[in-house]
Amino acid sequence: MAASLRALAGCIGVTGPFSVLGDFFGFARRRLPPDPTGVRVEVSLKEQVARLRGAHLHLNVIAVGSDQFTDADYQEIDYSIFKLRNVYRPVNVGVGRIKHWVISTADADGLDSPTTEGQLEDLTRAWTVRNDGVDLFVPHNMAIPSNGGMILGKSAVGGPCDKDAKGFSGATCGLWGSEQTARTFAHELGHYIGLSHNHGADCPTGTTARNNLMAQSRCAVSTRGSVLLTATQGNTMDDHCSIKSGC
Amino acid sequence: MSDASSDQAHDLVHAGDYSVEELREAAFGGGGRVSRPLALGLLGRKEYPEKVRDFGRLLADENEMPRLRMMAAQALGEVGSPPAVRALERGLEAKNGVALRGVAEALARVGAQRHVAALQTLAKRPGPVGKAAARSVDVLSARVGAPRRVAPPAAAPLRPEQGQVAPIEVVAVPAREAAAAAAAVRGRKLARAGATAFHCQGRQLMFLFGEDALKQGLAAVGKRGEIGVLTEARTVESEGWEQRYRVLVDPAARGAFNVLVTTEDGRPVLRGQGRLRDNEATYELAAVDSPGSIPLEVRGRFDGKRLKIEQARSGKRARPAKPPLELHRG
Repeated sequence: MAASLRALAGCIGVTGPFSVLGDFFGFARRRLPPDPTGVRVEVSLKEQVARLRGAHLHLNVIAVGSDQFTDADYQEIDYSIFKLRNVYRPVNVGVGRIKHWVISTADADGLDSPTTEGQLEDLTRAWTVRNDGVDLFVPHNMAIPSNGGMILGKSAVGGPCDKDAKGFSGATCGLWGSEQTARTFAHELGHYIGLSHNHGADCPTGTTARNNLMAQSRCAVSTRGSVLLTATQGNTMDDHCSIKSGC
Repeated sequence: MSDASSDQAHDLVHAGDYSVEELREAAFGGGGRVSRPLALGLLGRKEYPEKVRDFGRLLADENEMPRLRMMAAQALGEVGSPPAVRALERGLEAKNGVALRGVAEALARVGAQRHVAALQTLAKRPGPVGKAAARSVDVLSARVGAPRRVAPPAAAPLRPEQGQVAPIEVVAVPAREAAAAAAAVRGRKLARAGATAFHCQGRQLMFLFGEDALKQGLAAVGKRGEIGVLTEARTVESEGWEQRYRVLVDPAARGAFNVLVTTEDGRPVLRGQGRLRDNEATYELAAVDSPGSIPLEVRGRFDGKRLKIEQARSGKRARPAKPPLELHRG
């Protein structure tokens, strides 16, 4: 298993001595995050190895206003990473290398606190990680009113892999408490890799549709449980340019 | 300014799905279905009698999370009533930088001439507070009629290269859309007449004159100030318009004038110059070269009533963006 693990780590670009939870699973705190309901959190090396042998994507998580991030904030991000793998697993989309990046409050120049959708786009255009991972920005103080509610995250639908392309070149997600952040994190990344909402201005009436990850959170039956994906959605994700073939 | 090459979508929760009582409990009592930041954000969408008092207290509380204090300032800025502005004035005493940035940005939206000096004092501070306050001074000054100078372009403009050009379509604006876009911009009186819309690769922008600027006609470009705004349509599973850019002019010598287009919060995106001659003004703008910016150029005329666009085109690729630093944890 050790040799196989090292080979797989190399395949996803993790080289040298590495921490299994930090570098291989991508937890910023290098340990498992707590589940907000107190349920025991477990990850399976065997499962992750299986996922990396199939279709998977790499991710860059970018903390914007990093000097304001507390351990609790990183816990929220790590729970989102934990849940992301569980949500994408049923449609056979793995999450491979996750690297963590920071933009200080001073460097962010106000974009740690976006109050308009336009500022989210400005953020993804002004910053990027030059690798083959999808950039997911987490502005520390996101507070964007919209249509009588609050925007929790925003992304291009079928975002570009060319990071110098025009428009939104990453996904964005605010910090809204572990369960909500985790749902929005997976939802926005779902957008980036090709998924649209499964409804229009009105929420779907059926429970199945409202339990889908791509229903907006305002339509979801529950923040925790409404994270399902269909096989068709899995196929759409598979077709995105960021998806790698198996190691 | 850029052109989206793909659709965009967001995740959203509605304030209408929660009662004021539930949100107040979650925001100030710390219990309930939603986290404190989300409860506070949603409470900001509600109207209720204790709103200014609730948010004013939160803003003034030095023991509170800075992020929540910033959100409180934002909500007070949206309320904009005299008591809300007084709460923001008290917020200028905040010791925390994040809270102070929230106050500066809110005062930029709803403050008055008397707040300019306080923001100028804040703008002298180093770091993020000073930078946020400086931008707020610019936005507020333009709003209250004492805008700062618009300098001529300092660096070479960023124009699209041959073979890398995407056309920008100028389209007629239905009156209903102009009214909707004008109504979406708070704190400014915008004219529906003279609105001009731009479409490029799925992105929809609309320029609207300020009512005062349009009344002045050509004289508007002979006076320093904000002449209008560009709004952007949110079309993918979201409705309505959002203010995106501000357009400022400043007269120069011999009938010339400088033009600056900034984001809503004051970041320069386009610069250029114009000239007033006979019964019309001509102008030419190009993108400001910065990380992630899109090459763009716009050229046209203004006859005192309407902008005429003779050429508008953008590049297909952005300038390289900045790289963040890697997080190193033990």
